[in-house]
Amino acid sequence: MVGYKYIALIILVLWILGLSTLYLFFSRKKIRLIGELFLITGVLISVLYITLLWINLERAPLKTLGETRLWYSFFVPLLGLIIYYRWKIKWMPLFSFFLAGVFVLINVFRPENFDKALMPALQSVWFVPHVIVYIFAYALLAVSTLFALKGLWQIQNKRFDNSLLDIADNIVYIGFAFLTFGLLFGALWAKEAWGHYWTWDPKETWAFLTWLLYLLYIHFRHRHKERIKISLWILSIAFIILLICWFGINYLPSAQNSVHVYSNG
Amino acid sequence: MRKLSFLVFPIFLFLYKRNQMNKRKIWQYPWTYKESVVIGLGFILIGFALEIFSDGKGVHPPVFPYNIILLLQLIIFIPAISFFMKKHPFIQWMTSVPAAISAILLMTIFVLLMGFIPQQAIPNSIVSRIGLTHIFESWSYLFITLYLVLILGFTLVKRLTPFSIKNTGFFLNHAGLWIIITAASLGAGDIEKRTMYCYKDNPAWLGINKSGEKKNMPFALELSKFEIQEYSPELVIIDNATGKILSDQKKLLSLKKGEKKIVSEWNVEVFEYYNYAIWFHNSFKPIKQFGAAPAAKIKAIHIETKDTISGWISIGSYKETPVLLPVNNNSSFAMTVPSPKKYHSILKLYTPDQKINKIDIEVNKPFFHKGWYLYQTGYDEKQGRWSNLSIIEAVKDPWLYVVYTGIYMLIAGSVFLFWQGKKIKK
Repeated sequence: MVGYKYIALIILVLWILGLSTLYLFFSRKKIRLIGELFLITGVLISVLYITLLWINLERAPLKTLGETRLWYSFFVPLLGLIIYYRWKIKWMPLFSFFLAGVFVLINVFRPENFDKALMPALQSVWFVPHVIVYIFAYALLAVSTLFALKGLWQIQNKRFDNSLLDIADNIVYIGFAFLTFGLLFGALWAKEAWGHYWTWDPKETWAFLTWLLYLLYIHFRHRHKERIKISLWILSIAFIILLICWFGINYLPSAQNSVHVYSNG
Repeated sequence: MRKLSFLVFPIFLFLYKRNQMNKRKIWQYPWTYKESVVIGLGFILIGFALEIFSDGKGVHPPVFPYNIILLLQLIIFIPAISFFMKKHPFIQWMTSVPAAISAILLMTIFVLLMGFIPQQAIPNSIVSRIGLTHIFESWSYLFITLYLVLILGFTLVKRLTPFSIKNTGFFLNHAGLWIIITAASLGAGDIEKRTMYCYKDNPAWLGINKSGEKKNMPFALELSKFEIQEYSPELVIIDNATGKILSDQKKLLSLKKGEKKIVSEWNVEVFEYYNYAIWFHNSFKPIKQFGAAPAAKIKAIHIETKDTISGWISIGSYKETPVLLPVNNNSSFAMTVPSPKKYHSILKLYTPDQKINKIDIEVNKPFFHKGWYLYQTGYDEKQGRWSNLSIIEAVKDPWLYVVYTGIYMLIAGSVFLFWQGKKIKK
């Protein structure tokens, strides 16, 4: 990891400059573009560093925790930018570059952690994509839940804004696409690692449940545009299931033998 | 049971005809959620009843060629029924969103039950009797899956005739899902899993299946070399009598030459560390020979009393005895068992045509040979790094590529979903 400190500094400065330019001058298209260029340059430096490291190590940098973080700090902003450009979701660059910045900082300040090899089952090309698509799915669906809560609150106060669920739908569709990627990448990985693509491991079961509830929401909205309250409730409950899948698993009696519960890291 | 597979569709048609003959008010077309709820409950209750009658044995997935026959029935009858009864309110209902929602809900309920109920049979309990401890082999779940597959199937045919480019995303998502569910359910019975115990100089031709029977394999495996890389072991203080770890497990000293750390009340420094060592003439010598164990020489100074202890510790191996360094009468410095970082096996693969291939199998890197995936699953943990046994799991799933086709279609469909999305109306 020689020289990463300096590369990291350049990347972080570019990203901070980029984000501040972007958000301070969001309404002025030309200045905003300069901000976006800063962000993109930072991402390009990340990918250049990964390429050089790959050549230098003569193997794919996918074996240690730090190396997976390098990939996150490249792919998370890249996907963030793609979503931002496609759907003009204003908070997306802030979220993705902030998260990527955190990954860069961990690598700089915890170098002893960098060389910690992953446990054998995690050393796979599927690890990074599997995690990254879930990061985006969870973030987007969390935001859709905020809209649902706002909607329920508005209904309580008898002044519901109809455009609210349209925005939520937009975010749910994108989030659901990533949720599907996550589930399927996980299945393809499971075949490589455990011999079967689906073993009803508790994490799989709950991930599938989460997927089913958002599927339900999409179909319900498709047919019953006017049933706002039920839609809002489905959206909120779906996120509760998502949270159980994410954290709650470890406390369930049916999950004691899950392969996703890694004790002692 | 297998013979019943021929009857699925005739029964389906019969029920439908009968239904038409004695119409009651609730069943008057067009159907809505009311009928969906009744149908859903019907599936669950009939499923429970069948479980009780069959003593909670459940349904076993069909095997070749019955699963192929069932698949052909689905592929022939779904488009045929759609074609002849396109305008019929029953088919109209089957392809409606309420029907889809009811199927998704039913599936959700069952997966939710699965999420809470551990899937192990509990003798003499009602939960086991009605099939809830083997949900995925229960009648209720079979009905729900069939219901979902039919609804998806009819919807697909309806939406795709005539085909329009605009429907590509819809097609990829729905057909992908249909293929995954159908192929995974019908193919489950054809999956073969065999555990092979591969020793050095002794080719294994047999594999042990799930029920513990030894089966001939179409190839043999012989272990050439088993290699394991381990994390550095750590230093702990243990109770002499119980072997319990007394020092803080979150602040472990990693045993590498030159490492320093405070462990409990001791300032410890690692003077020497050998990954492979043999006890010889009152100390460990770095020798990489069969049975060699990791060993470390440490020096510990008490923070307050400045008492000094130094000496060797080792976790030992199946050949070397473990060495502890006493702290006092009750406790000692000890080494933890190093955990594996990476392990792999180099094996000789013999085929009936007398060819021998050298193959390398690692966790996450299975080897594929004529329909069989070979996985590294274990080794002799007592011998650890000196294991001359490698446990390989061989898995054959003839339906895998059908399921994969569905998975890749669904991935492509999700790209469409992301790109087309749901536009915000202004």
